[in-house]
Amino acid sequence: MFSAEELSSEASTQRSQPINTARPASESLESLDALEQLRALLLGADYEILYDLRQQLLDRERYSLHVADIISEALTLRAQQDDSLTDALSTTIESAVSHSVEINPNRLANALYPVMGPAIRKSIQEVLHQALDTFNYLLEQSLSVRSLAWRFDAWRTGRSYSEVVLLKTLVYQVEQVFLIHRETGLLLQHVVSPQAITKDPELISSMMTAIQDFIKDSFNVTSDTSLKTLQLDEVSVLFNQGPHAVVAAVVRGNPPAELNRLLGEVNEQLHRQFIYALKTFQGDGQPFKSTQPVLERCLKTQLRLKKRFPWLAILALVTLVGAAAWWTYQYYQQQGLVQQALAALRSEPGLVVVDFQNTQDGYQFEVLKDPQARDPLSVIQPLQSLASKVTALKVTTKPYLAMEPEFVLGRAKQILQPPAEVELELAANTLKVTGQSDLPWQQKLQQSWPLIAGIDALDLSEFKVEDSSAAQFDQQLRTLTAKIEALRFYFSSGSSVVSDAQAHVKQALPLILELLETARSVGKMPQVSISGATDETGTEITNGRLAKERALAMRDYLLEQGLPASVIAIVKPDTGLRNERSIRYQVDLF
Amino acid sequence: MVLQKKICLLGAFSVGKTSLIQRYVNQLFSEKYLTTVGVKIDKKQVTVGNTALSLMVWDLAGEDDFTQIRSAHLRGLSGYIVVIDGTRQNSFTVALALHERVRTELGQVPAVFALNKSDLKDQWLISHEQIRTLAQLGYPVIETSAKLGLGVEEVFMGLARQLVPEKVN
Ligand SMILES: Nc1nc2c(ncn2[C@@H]2O[C@H](COP(=O)(O)OP(=O)(O)OP(=O)(O)O)[C@@H](O)[C@H]2O)c(=O)[nH]1
Ligand SMILES: [Mg+2]
Repeated sequence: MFSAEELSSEASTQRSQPINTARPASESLESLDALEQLRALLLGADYEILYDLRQQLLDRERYSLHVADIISEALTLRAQQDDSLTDALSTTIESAVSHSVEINPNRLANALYPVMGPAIRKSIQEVLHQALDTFNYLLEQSLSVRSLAWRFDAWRTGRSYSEVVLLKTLVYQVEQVFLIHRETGLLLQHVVSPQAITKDPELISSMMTAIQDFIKDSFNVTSDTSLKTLQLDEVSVLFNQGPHAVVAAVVRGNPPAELNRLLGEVNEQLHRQFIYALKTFQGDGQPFKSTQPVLERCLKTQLRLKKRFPWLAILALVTLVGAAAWWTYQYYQQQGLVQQALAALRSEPGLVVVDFQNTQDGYQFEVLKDPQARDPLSVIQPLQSLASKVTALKVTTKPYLAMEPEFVLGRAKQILQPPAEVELELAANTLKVTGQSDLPWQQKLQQSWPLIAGIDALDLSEFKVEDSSAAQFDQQLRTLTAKIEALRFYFSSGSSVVSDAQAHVKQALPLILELLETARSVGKMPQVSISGATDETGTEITNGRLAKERALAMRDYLLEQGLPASVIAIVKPDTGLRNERSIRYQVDLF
Repeated sequence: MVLQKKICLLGAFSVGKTSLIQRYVNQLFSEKYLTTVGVKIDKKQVTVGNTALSLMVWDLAGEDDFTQIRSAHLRGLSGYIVVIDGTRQNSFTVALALHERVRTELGQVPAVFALNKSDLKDQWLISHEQIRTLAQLGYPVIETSAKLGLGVEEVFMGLARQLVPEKVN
């Protein structure tokens, strides 16, 4: 706002300029001046103020300045008076917003971001809530005792079930809403609730108008009153008359007072928004398409049922969700188990999983198994406790030969059974044999290695065959020989009679027999010679004869004791000079 | 685009307004006379050029000594058909009076005159002179017979053609 002083002060500063410039530079200068003076005399300061005001209006810049001063106050004031500002601005703002979105969608998106989340949440909540209610209502309708009673009622009275339900539960329902052009009675727009049936709304619209007119005319009522309600049994029609349009609602049941108020509000809103279209209506309903959402606000329904907690729906939902969750849990458990079993079987050497599938009695793995490999069932043994809760794990095996080096080597060891001194190694399908063995094993090796899968060649560079038994026998024979040759039997002086010889025989006989056996086993023949000796008393001749007699006596005694004669073939004379009355043995092998 | 238009049938009682509509909308005719009380409305879809019209046809009770056509019913009409019964002089007078009344109340509005019961032409009392006067009013004058279905289509289409804005066609 601006004050009067401001106006006049501004006026005086601005005044002289336009007059000076406007004045034509001609000979009539003086007369113009005179006229100016006269005017000033007659109109005085008023003239200047008025002149200045006029200039303000003509000068775009100055005019804008003043309007700018008051524009927000003006808008506020008008907004308090009525809603026309909203209607007037909405188109502009709508196109400004869409323009802004076209140029840079991000800006609006950023601005809306903080409110979008809550808005979306709210609307989802609302939708879920409604869906839950409907679901519950349906469940209750189809399950409750009351619904059975209603079905019986329907059957008894011959009405349809839905009709009975509606009658029993409905307080009211707005079935149709008409927006009617008041002057012509033509239909501008029409909305119907989903369940309602409608017949030719255009005709009904005209007819309702005709009835209105008819009644108004017939009873000479004053022109500004009009028909408010038509009532036919269960159905009533509520009218709200506006200057240019009528909103008529077809209601089943008992419409509440608020409904009239709502119709009024809607009609007022439509008048504000569509006033131009209403005034210029020539039969084209197109501009009124957008009244639909506003009219739909009137399609209200109120059921007699008290709103209860939707326990049935919740229960059903919870069961469903629970079942789904359980199924999912089971599925993942099973998948996890199967994966674990697969991993275990696959990482186990000598086992190859060829196939696996879910069968009726559990998960079936088809496995190729090398004879060397571990039993697959024992491989998955650690999983069995889990499996017992989820699904059975079954294995079918088929034999196969693994070609991994360790399996080829294992196979070779199993087949060849190498002795302790022999080591087997595998390098590039060649079996290397290190160490030594006896002949039979070497023969076995030569026969068997070509039959072992995975071995192509034999490396015997560090292997030798040794007949260890011969050496052993030699050793044994040497020992026996030494033992036998150390034996002595002593005679009494000048005698060649073997007496008290049990102890000696007990020693000598087993040794000689063992010698015989051992020598035979290596294909040799032992010969034990007995030679006698004497002391140095007596002549050489008698001593020689005595020594020979002593050797023979022992030979005979031993033969008597069971020594085979073939062993002691020769009795040798003792060549050594010894001063003792004894015999001793000498072993020769042939 | 469908244009809705309100049209009215006017005329004295028993001239055959209801019969003309019945013939036009439902292709039916009845000799029985059931006078119309108040208003009866019918709908008929027609196409003129490339404009689809939805005609809301208001059948008003005929004028007689006791009944006057109500102004309220005339409000907002886009055009009207004045029906005259050729066998009754009085229906001509009433027709002219009604036409005049609409003109003063609503101004210049498309209209058509229907000279009904043309199947009873031998009983007609209306003179050629009168028909000429009618024609001079500047509106189409069409002879009709609701009974035989003659001229009925022409009457309604004659009006419909006047209802479509020039620029559209
Ligand atoms: N022969 C003949 N009879 C007709 C014709 N049209 C109507 N009638 C008869 O005239 C009588 C009156 O017809 P309506 O159509 O009811 O007349 P109306 O103008 O609607 O009369 P109100 O409703 O009373 O004003 C009926 O008995 C009809 O059978 C016609 O073209 N030829
Ligand atoms: Mg009639």
